[in-house]
Amino acid sequence: MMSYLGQRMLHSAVALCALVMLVFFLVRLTGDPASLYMPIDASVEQRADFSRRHGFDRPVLVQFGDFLADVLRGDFGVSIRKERPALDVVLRAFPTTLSLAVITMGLAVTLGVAVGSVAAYRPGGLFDRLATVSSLAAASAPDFWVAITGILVFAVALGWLPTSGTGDWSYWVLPVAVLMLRPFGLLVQVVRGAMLNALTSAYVKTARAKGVGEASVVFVHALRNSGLAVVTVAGDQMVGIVNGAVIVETVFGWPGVGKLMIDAVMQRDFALVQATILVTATAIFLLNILIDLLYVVLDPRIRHQ
Amino acid sequence: MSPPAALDSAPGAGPESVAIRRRLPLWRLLARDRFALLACLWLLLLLLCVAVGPELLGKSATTLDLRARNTPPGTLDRGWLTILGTDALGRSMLARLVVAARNTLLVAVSAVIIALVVGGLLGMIAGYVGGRTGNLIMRASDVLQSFPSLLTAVVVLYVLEPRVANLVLVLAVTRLPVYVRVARAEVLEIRERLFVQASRALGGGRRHILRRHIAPIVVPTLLTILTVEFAVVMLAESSLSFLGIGIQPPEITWGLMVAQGRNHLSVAWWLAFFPGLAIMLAAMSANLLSSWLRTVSDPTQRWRLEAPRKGG
Repeated sequence: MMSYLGQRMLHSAVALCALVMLVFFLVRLTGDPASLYMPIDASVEQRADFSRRHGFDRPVLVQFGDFLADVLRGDFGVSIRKERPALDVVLRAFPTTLSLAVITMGLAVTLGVAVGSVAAYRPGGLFDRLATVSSLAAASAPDFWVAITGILVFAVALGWLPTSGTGDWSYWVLPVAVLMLRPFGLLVQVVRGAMLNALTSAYVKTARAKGVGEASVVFVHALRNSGLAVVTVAGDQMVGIVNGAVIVETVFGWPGVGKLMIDAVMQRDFALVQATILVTATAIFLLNILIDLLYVVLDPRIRHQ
Repeated sequence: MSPPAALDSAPGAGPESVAIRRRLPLWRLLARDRFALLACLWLLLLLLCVAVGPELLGKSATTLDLRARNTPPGTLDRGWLTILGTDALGRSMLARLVVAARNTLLVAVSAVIIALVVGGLLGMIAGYVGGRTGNLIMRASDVLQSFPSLLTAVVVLYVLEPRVANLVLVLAVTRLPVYVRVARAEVLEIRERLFVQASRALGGGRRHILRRHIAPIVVPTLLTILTVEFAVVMLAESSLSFLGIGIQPPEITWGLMVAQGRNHLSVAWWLAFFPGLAIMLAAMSANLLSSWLRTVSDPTQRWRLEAPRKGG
């Protein structure tokens, strides 16, 4: 078990390094920051001076060497735009995105599992058909469209909720609802499928024949077996949100990591892009290890390997 | 090839009790599932738009009519083209939607097909050849997967021009790992089967085995992912266009139309609403069709479609 975890971490570390290198060279392909930050009529000398101050005039490989040495000392450079250490900027935005992800996934998993199991209990029934179609609609709706339609209806027309920004709970309702749609839709489908299989399987028939109570059959025997599928899908969706819920953060003016990253790329703020990627990638690798541990808890076959 | 087909088509040969229930043809099964049928018809209609839409309505989609600016939907007094309303320049929404269907759907379809072919091939090689080549392919696919796909898109479209071809390329590359993984997992299992070993014992080369024995089993699996992936890619393209880094005006896609309509949200809600609805319906149809395909191709679930309807 421990050796398996160790191996996983080693693989993750290798992938993380590859990612950091790739990002370093890729962002430098997007263009010269001097032409973006200096006024249009800046002279060649002024531009050269800007590049020298930020170290962009040195050969790329030298910059890369310095970057690596700095990162090992925990220094991610200074954001050009914000004129603050890049890591500070990222670490300030990260909790916002993380709490958004946790709340969204918590609600999506609870609701998805509940609706999926009830739907699978009577396949073909009214509730099942409703759940199937609405979960498909939820999984297929473009989030940016739902977001602006939501603003139009609940913020502009009805005036119940604020349009954007952060604050008390009412600011969370629309972003969470929009972000929840896809994970919820996918989870309903996955749980329904897994429960359909489980409820028709031999061990459930055995349990019923033994006289096990119906609630226990559904929630203990059958539902436990769909746990793996739920963890896979929920984990995948969670990774997506931690990576930056760019659309939702942009539309609702939410100061999270996704918006930070897109803005940083557009503004050629190289240090900030690198810091953002490194922080989110580390979070995702930790999350993946957590998901693997959950598999082990849920499935005895994996535990005994 | 022929023996199983003969068994299947001659149910009368055996005694009545063991007669195999005749399998309904696919289109009959489709006709029995109302939602799948609707989805299929909707996708066919969209295909028609892709094929002839711009030729039929291209002119009405670009004709300005400043007197008919922001006509609300449901107005028919200027002709049937304004049934979904007009935009801020008086162009017909319906015509613009039909014309934008070509870009939206062609980008998604080509990206999905490129990803399927390249990813499937790489996955099959990784699974069959294994060793260092296989490891290299899998690690590369891991890195690609852990890379935020939106960032890839932004960077690539910044470096290259945001043209249709580049957009297709970006979308295809970010979706590659899915096919690589599935194809490899399938091949790992198939390569140990007896017929593959037999072929190898008879002197079949790698290429021959991959093409004649492994591909025919892997490809159908990949094809069932195709429809789901189509929806995913279409949504991704729309998001990129919405953020302004996808297809650039004067070209239009549904995602771009939503982005443009967002600025007029409080005066003309239909500008953003209908393109978004079109995206959702197309993605939903693809998802519906794929879940239907999964049921049909799964022998343990297919009876649900074949069983006679209650009261029907």
